[in-house]
Amino acid sequence: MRRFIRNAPFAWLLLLLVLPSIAWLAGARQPLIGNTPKAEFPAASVRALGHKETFDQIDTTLLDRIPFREKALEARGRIGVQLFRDSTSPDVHLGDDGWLFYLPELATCDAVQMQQAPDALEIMAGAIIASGRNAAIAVAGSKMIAERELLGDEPAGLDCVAALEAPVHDRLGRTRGGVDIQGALDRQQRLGRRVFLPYDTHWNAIGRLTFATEILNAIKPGLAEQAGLGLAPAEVEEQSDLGRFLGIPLENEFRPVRAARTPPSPGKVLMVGDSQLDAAFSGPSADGITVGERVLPEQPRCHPLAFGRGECDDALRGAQHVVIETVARDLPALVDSCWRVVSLVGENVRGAAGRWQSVDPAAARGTRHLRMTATAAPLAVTLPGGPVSRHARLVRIPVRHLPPSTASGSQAAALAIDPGSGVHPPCVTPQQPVVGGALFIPLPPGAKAGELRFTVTAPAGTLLGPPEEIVLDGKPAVR
Amino acid sequence: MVFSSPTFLFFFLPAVVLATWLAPTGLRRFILLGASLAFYTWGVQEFVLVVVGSTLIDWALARGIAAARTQAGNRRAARWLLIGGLVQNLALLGWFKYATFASHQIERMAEALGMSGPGTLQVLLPIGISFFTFEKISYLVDVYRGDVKARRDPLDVLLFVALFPRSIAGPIVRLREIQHDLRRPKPTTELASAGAVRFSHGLAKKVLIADQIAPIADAAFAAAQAGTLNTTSAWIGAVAYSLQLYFDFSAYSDMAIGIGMMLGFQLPENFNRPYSSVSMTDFWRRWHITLSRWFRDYVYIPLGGNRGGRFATYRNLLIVFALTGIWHGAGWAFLVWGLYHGAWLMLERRMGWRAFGDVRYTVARRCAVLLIVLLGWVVFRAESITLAADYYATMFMPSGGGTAPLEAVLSTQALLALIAGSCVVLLPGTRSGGRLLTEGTGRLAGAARLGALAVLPLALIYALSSSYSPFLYFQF
Repeated sequence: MRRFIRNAPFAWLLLLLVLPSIAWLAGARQPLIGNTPKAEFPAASVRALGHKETFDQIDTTLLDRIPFREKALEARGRIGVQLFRDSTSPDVHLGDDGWLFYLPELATCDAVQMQQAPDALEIMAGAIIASGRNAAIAVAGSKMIAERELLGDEPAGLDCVAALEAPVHDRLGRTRGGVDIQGALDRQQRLGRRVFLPYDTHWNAIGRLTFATEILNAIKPGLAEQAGLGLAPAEVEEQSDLGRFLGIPLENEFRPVRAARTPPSPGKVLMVGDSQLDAAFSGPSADGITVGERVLPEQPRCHPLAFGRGECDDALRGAQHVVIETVARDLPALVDSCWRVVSLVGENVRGAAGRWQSVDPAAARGTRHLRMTATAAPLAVTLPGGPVSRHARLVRIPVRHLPPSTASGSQAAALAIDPGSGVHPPCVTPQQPVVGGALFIPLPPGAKAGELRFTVTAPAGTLLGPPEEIVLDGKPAVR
Repeated sequence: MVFSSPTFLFFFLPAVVLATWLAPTGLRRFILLGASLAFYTWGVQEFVLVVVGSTLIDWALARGIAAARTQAGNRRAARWLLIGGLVQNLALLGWFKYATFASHQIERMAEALGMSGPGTLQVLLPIGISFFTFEKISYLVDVYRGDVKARRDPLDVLLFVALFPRSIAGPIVRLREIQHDLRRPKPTTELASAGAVRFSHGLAKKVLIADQIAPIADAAFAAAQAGTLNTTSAWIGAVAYSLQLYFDFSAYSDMAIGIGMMLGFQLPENFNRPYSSVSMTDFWRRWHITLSRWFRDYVYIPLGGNRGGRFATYRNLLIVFALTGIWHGAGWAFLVWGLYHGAWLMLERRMGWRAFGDVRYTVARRCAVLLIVLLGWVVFRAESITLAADYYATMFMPSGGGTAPLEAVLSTQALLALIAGSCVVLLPGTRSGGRLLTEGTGRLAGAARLGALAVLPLALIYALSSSYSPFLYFQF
């Protein structure tokens, strides 16, 4: 007995240290946690031993595979959250009554793109409509703003984010092609209903149904009713995303949105959006068929990251209805990539011709075409609609001729707004390598065209056509 | 690979311990050597070849020194060989640790003089270089002094230098302290159990206290950098850093000692309740003990110690503490920190304030020493004199109360760790917790051992759940 007591500490330590290895040998495997794919061991070579990254990768690979890590994360999460009321994740804020909030929602406070977001959204919607398509652009507001009274101790930056998001929702409500989801959700909240799930960044049943209804009716009035949109009678369970950050498996329970029938097809619909769109249209369903599969079968879907990489360009060209959804915290990324939407839908958009103006007073003024020389010069335009408009506008710069490609690469006309310009619009096309294509400079409502200064850089001999003005007044402007 | 990382805890350590125990006695040192080189390669990659090469040079030099010593009239040759060894080691340390700093200072001087400088260097600092360089020097000097025999087998010296439990953060060991254990490691279950308790204690100190307090100190110094620190937060940050540093460093020593015991050798103690010191001199007998004794035996005493009169003693103290400062880091702030401590030791000698053990006004003395040490840690942590000056100004010129700069990190767990850490260091006692666990008898020691083992699963949970950074969406 004495010997046992003497040896017990050593045995105890060794047992705890080898337990994960024993479990692994017995077949225990670590599931995917943290939404990251498991790392792989690096290729074995003597040379690899000379790089720190090799050992870092071995560390990560072992950590991704060690059994019990999920349990350790859960234990630590429960100790932190339930015993000490501490968030064990720097990204999660613990609110009242167990509500969880995603702190990166506050990051937009520092994003310069948020100032341009309302204009960018209006321009995108207007450009899509001008191209003869139907637009439905929605922004899912932050949970921290929507369920603010449940935050408990308010984190810093909340007022800033609220002040940035309010104009976005307001503009969408006043823009043809915009969908004021926040307004619709606010109406639900005034009826005493919550619209978010407590442990999740996504909407609850009410929120998802509201969103799906608004989007379907924006695609085609009455489409939601035609589809018999409603809530399934039985609840489903889904693991919460914010619980995962804390290491604690928390379940959401809610009645999923369902569509009773497949309505007549409204035409080709492209949906570009991330998890809120997925939650409403591809989320759990009572009968295994999602709303998207029933109401808009075989319609293309595109994640914003894929859209930004150009992987959905053809789908956009072929779409009659374009739905774009983003969560408020990802608005800066959408603003950065909105030029792609404008450039793609603008391919068949035409407007009244204006004239080129050179900023250099000695140069010829008021020309219709512009032949580029070797030296890029700052440029301005005169538009037929006048210097100012209450609508957003597009300045379309057609590329009529590009010199042939050289050995060093293909030619392109590139566009940049001058730092000294009086107008700095979003969604400007950075470059156009295709003859017959165009560069676009949007002008937000009220922007003075005469204050716009920009530079086009192109190979000598490039010919640009007259700058065209397309007024985004909610009417098609196709050729 | 740090001791609290999952790779070390759940793969490396059990593999090495089991391999050592299961191997025949004659093979054990090869297992330890292989494991030590693998451990060091994990941290420094190709630099391990430099360490191996330099160690083999030291082995050869030591053999030469030993041979020259035994030959009458050849002490001069022995001395030159020793000098060669010292130059070799200090040149390595100087290059890897101080070349970058020196080049930046030369560049700044050139700019100040309106000249163009030679450019700056960026030399990567291999971890542990300060520790094993001192150990190699101690080996050469000990051989020269005849305190230890030169090893015939180069693997003995290689194992001594590379021995993984203390290669990165000490304790700084002398070969004579562990040479027999290293030659033929013979771990016993009794020693291993004591080591297991010690290791558990160290791991708990690291992950449950030091790591919980660290964000408070980091936030305070970050706020100082950003100019948003206030007085209250500055003091909290300084206290937090003082505790974090002690618990982190002493935890590492505890784990190193514990691992050594599990593998059959005993490393020297490195901390002995330093925050219970009753004088600054006492502090340096309790804090990083092996470093203090190294400087005492290889710098202070060879310089003459306190045998040359008052001013020589002060000179030697300043030299030792200037070197102590820059040993910790290549920067003016570290030098200032070292000289700060040297100045206090000089003052104590001058004023007769040196004290150890039972003295009058113990509480007041302890408070004074704590305050002096805490203030010193500010410049140590700041790593820049400018930032340290700003921090001190915030501490001493009232600039607002409240803890707003630290709000995000003052979690309940962090506060509890801060309070628990403060209580532990302020508790009365003459022996460190680690020593109590390994040497103590009686009910208190037994309860402490049980406590360390009971907390072990929690410490492992915290270690295993560290570095978790999930994504909201799946990363393709």
